[in-house]
Amino acid sequence: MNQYNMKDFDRALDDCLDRIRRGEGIEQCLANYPWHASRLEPLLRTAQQAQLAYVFEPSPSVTQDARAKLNAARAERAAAARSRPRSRVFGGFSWLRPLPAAAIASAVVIMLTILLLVRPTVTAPPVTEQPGENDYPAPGEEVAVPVTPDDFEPAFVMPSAHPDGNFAFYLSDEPNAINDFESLTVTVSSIMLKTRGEEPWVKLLPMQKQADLVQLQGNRSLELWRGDVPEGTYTMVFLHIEDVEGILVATGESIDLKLPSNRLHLNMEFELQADELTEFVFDITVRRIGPPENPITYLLLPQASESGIGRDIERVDLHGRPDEPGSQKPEDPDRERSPKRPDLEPTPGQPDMPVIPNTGHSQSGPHWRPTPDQH
Amino acid sequence: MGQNPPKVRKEAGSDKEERLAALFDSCYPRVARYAYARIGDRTDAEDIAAETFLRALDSLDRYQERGLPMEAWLFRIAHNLVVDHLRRANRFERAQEDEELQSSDNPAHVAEERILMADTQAAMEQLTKDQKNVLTLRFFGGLSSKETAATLQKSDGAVREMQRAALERLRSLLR
Repeated sequence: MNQYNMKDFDRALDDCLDRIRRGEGIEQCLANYPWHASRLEPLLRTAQQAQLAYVFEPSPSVTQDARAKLNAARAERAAAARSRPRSRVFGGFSWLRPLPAAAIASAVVIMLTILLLVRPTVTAPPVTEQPGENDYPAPGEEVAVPVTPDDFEPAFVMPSAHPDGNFAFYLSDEPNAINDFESLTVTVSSIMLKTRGEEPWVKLLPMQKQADLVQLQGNRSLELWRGDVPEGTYTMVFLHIEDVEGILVATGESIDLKLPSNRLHLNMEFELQADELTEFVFDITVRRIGPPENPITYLLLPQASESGIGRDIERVDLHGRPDEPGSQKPEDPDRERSPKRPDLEPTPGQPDMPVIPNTGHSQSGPHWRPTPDQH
Repeated sequence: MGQNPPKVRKEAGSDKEERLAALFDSCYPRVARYAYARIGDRTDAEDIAAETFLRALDSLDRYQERGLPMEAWLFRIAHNLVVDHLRRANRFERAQEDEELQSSDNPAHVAEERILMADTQAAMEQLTKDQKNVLTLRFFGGLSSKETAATLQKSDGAVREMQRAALERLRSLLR
């Protein structure tokens, strides 16, 4: 085979390898290169054999961890960029710098005047926001990102806390920079569960609002809520946090922690059955960010790899002492799950719980609402 | 009249970051497979794949798409990590997983496949470094020969030639 023919053969081989990778058969490829077929075929079969020798698919959990690490690194990068001091007065508008202040002021006045004159003629169609559409991030994100105004909430149902419920929600902490803290107290205002499909979200008001993450390292978990949640498939969990207070070991001083949009969220699909207890752990981690020469900044992040259902749980109380399941409630923790009360069961066509429309206001109220038979 | 030079819009950092994140789903398994084919350990391969994306994020400000697509750039990072790993390990370790063998209805067939796989892997080890690089990027990284060439900083023709030579050598070793 001369040099030209060799190059032609190399191209034919390359083309066949690409086509086989896309799903075509060896015979189909050979049919396109009959003059090379006898030499191509054994090489293509060798290539197939070589590929079979390394069949490997990374495990979904490891892939999820890797994705979470990338998202965490992106969040750190974004936080670091935000905290970086701007070296130029005009930032990205450096072309404005040579202009005198009077000229800028005049331009602003002219623009405002034009805006006021034009405004009455501009109309916008009414915007209706549907729950689950523009309110929360797209699937694929694990890390908290600011996605909506803080006062927006989708329509939701709000089940009562119940010691024999089918769902228990725990908070835990993955040790990262937690040892820098004497205490790191988060105050959770609400937990939102997103259902798959068009069902309203589920909002839980925690019975235990405050948790010191220093006491919740590893498998140690604090129960925030327990009750009956409608069965079904849930795809996202949001933790709304109203306050984070950290006290540093080194100096004893209290510091602010960064928490984008005051909430943390996990993309995590799980099933809830009506007659089976499901325990969900939301794991939070604290990371030190930014270059060491700058003042240390800490960032709270969800830890997807340690969160979800089926996690090992070492129950502790608010002070980190061992705790029995449901012991925060005024009930015997060892009793079995009681059957649902028929008088509280929904009648056909009637929803389990009233759907609370999107009001734009946060709900507040008692954390623990005893049912009549618990008085 | 002189023409104004064309305006070059610099790609914003956040755009590049979005593109990198968007590549995760399609590229992570391929980077892991490529690393596995080179180092033979699944756990290390998964670690290298994860590390590839973190390194890419760290270096994103320096990335400029000048003939090297982001995907090929990712594989170049993975390739460097693999080389570092092999230099540190200085040996080829393969994690044997016998679960499939034990749980199969036809263990003899599985064992035969295992032997074939072991032979193929041993033959792959006989290839030159460049030949191995080309085959692993093409077969396990899923890159085209052009992307492979960009990753390895070689010409397309050289890559196609190495690919053919590698397959011929493999074939003679497996006969």
